[in-house]
Amino acid sequence: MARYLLRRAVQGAFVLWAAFTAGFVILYLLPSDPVEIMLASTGSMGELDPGAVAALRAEYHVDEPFYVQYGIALWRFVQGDFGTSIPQRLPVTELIGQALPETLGLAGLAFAIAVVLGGGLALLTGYLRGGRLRWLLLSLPPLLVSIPSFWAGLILLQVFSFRLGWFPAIGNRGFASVVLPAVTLALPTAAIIAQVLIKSLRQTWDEAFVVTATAKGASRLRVLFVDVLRHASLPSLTLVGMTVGNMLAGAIVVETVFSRLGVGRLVEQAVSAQDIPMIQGLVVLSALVFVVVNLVVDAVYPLLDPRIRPSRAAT
Amino acid sequence: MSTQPLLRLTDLRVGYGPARRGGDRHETDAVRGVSLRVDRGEVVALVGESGSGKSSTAHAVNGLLPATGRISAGRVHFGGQDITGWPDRAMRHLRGAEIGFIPQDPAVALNPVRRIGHQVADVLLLHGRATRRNVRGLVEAVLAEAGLPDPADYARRYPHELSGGMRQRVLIGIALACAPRLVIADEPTSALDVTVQRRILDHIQRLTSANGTAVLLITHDLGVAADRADRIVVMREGQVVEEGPTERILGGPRHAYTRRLLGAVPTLTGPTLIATSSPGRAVPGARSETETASEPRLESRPRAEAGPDSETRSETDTETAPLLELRGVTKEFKRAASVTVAVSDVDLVVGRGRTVGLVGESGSGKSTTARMALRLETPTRGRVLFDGVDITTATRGKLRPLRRRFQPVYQNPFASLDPRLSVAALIDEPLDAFGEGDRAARRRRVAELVDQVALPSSVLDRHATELSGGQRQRVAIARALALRPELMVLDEPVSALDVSVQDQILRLLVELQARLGLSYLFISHDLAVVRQISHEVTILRSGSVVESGPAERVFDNPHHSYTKELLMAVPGQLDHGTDASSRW
Amino acid sequence: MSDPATTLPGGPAPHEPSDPGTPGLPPGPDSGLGPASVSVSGFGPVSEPASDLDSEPGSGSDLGPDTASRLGLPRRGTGGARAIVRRPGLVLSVLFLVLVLAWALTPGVFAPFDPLVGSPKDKLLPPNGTYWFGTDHLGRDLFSRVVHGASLSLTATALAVLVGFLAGSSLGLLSGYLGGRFDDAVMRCVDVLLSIPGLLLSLAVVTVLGFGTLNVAVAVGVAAVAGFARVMRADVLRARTQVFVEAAEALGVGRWRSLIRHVLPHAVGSVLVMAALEFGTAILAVSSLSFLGFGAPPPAPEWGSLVSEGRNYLVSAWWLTTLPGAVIVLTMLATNRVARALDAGRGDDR
Repeated sequence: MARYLLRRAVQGAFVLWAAFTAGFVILYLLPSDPVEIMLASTGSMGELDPGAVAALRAEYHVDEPFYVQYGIALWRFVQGDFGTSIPQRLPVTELIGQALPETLGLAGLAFAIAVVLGGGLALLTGYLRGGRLRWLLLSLPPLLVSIPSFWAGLILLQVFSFRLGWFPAIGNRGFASVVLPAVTLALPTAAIIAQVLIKSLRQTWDEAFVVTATAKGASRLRVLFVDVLRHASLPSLTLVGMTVGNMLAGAIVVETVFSRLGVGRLVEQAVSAQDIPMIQGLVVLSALVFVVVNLVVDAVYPLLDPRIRPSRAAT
Repeated sequence: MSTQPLLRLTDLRVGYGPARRGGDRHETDAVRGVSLRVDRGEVVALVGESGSGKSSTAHAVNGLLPATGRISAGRVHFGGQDITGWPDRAMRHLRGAEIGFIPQDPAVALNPVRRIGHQVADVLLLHGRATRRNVRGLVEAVLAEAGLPDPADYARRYPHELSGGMRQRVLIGIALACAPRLVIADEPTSALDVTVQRRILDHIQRLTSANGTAVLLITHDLGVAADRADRIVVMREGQVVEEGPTERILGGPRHAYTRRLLGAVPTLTGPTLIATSSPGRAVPGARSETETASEPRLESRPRAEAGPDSETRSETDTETAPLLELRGVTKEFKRAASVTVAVSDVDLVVGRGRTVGLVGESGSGKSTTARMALRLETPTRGRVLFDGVDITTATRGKLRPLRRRFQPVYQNPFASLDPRLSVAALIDEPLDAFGEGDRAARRRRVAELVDQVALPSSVLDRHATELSGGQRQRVAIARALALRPELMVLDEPVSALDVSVQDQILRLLVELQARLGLSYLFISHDLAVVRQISHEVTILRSGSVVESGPAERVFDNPHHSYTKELLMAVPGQLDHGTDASSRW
Repeated sequence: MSDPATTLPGGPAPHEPSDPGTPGLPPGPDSGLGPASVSVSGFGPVSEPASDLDSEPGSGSDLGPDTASRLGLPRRGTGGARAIVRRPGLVLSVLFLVLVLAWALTPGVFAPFDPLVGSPKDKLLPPNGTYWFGTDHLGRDLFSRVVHGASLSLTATALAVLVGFLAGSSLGLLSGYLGGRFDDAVMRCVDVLLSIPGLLLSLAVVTVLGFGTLNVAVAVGVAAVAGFARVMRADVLRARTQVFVEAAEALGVGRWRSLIRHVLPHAVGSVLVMAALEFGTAILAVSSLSFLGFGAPPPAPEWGSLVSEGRNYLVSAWWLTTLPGAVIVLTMLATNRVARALDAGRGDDR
């Protein structure tokens, strides 16, 4: 098991390295270099004297050959230095570090909502044997998946901020301001969780051991919670990594809609400003989150599924 | 004691799918008017082939029909009470407590993510036979009764840590934990090896007869029914065709279907499909018993190492040389750090026009051996010779011309036929691949082949998915015959088929052998089937040969204790039904 | 059977935690899975014939000739009216998609007004008989803008799916079929791509390529490549281990012939369904990018940017965000419904 986790960790490190390298190569292949983009964006092209430009170029190492630049960047990357944001002239890590807590809070709340909403929906459909309510519940996930979060966010704003005035429309102030963004962010994820769990519950109900459990005289509710749920929730565990990634991507849109500060907003700003070091940093960050989450899932999985554990009988 | 039967079904009908309004809905019911009774302490076997409705009948009793199924008519009385259509809430008190259930496949019938002990505890706690305090001890008592060596240890295990037989013991323990009055056993051993099957059936019999528990035994195996049941109920297409005491059913079946079913069951005592000891029988290439490979290693060595392309064989070769020879083949599978030996030093010789039965339980390495014979797997050690040519390490290209001379037939005709192709295209495939003649010639050959395996020519345009299991296996055989091979490697060719269909396919194989002089390597777990058609038999266990020799000798006078155990375990020969079974 | 001596390399793990390399599932002492049986379909003790098969009439080994109709495959002579009654959602979805496609192809026929020129006196009118979707701050007809937007948005979507499908499935096909180092290399790249959320990946590509409808389409397509590659590869691998493929080899059918005749037809199905599903995802991604302002520059009426423009009038003119968004939602719903129907139809096919 330890060996397996180690192997996964090495694979994860590879993913990070590859994400970094890809970003770097793209950066290098771009016709314009960071210094030019920076000068263009500040409108100071041609105003600075050549000496100052050369100094800047030296600072960004753009005058060095490719492999030297790559070596320098890689060494910095290993140390956790993702370079400097072009328009803001601040270290990428510092900017991300400032924005990250806001996004983590938002994503955390959204995740909780998604699990409760999606899980509850799936369990209810798993318990019901038929009827209109089940049909209605079953049609919810496909609907939720089909709603773009920018639109869902705007509708929520219209109804709950402008009409009803329950929540502030924009900003990062206080818990109330995070509710609508979190709900917006949670909806598609809840739909995915519900879809996967519904499918796996349905499959598990068809398993032979459910018949055994029923033949013991257990009620449907008991069979659902004691026998079916644990078995059925295993597949959705593997979704967690993807879900967290989706949260990050969703935050780009949601933070823009609700004018919140956060990592998503950073992405949006970086793309607008063609701030490639920033983009690279954010891409590597999301890959890191993905790798770490999956590593945790891999470590936890055997605790929930005994079949993955080394079996006593086989040893 | 009342004279009332414990369980009484009256004109029971079970339907599937949405309830249709009015009219002819009964036409499609799975169970169509079944009446039967089970008295206290009685063992009743419900026998039928697939689609007979026997499982639906049993599941209707304790309300375990799948969601789409329902009792559409008739009554179910249990212990004098009419329990037809009882709501789930009421049925719960019967299930587990009054009516035990032993499911079919122990591999999937236990929850893989819960400990054995908890799964046993469920039934005790649900019916108030135990409290949270004393449940542990009671669970261990149930497991001990079920015959598990160390109950405390087993209670902590997960299902995958137990063998199939052990799991079935646990399930039996669960079914009997509350001392129910009736146990429904749904094909309780059909997923188990024959030796395990016998032990499990003995176990069920001992426990139920000790407590006076009645058993409704669902089985497709008449042998099992004959051994275990007091009465037999034969079902077909949702209806009871015959019922009566076991001796009477076996001794004097009244219904034509029962007679046919009995006739189709392969046994260890009746006549076989081939004439093993009469040399007069027209089996081309067949030789008398004494000449055959009772000592495979001493069989004539092939001349030189002829290249694979040496298509020409002299007459003398044909007379003496074996067609297929495995010499000391061993197959090891490497996985991570460990090496598993699947097959170890197996010798096997298939003579021309002969059938060699390769018998073993699961995990015995028989299929791996077959795959090596077909060179789909390369042996780790040892050699494979086909018609004297060493093909152990022959490359794909060198093997290809030889492939037309040995062809496979797989166990599962559902998987081995590409569902996208029509029957004609399937059979044509090898012909086309080897460029046999033009389109018209090939079409004629395909028609001829379909005729050879006794299929109507109307199947040619159908897809394999539209055919029954038996028809599909015929298509697979026709495909294997297309290139006029000399050897067919048949891997469990009939084990997925109902007994009457199985009998037809075996007869077809024998007939084809006589007509075309084919040689068969016939792999099976079923001794009775192997006995029907084999000239020689090789018995594998854990990858090694334990015994081999002429079929008659091995079956009548087994030398190895494992062979004896296997033969003993074949159902249909216990005292109970001896007189009857000898008549089969 | 109860002897653990026959422990053989176990079969595939029932549930794999996550993709590459599962810890070897320790086989139960009797897991009847011989090494062979992994690829040759249960050579287990007995594949018992009767048993579970008769619990459902007509299923199992005795599938009669009328199986097709029982499985609900399209029967000849099923009238359109009957289809509407039986699956109204699907029929409505198809009709809606046809309508939207018609908008995209011939917007002039459906749009009553010029999408770019408005009449200032009619600005910010709510939906009414003349202006079905109302008007924006320049007095432009919103409905006409949505109809014309269909063209830009759907073209981008189609292009994105095409890019992802072609690049992804050919990579996956080669990877699955060639195996070895090529497979390893491709799959490592796929791992990397899959570890980055699609929208972020698209944004990174847009950053490099620059803004605009075409670039957005390519960016969304690139983000879909990895998914296609993985599904295609898995299908090729699965098809390759089907018993009938091995049977073909044992019968002497050549490798390439077998690939084209047996492997490819079975592998391509789920990728096609995925392409249909991906269409919905791509609509979402394209409109999100457009909403963020990375699509076509302002006067051009892309669906996402229409919603974005309406943001400034959230309080006073709800229709500016709500109605274009609703069209996106309906399009997504309809594509997903059709894709699921395709998937289900394929499931029946097997």
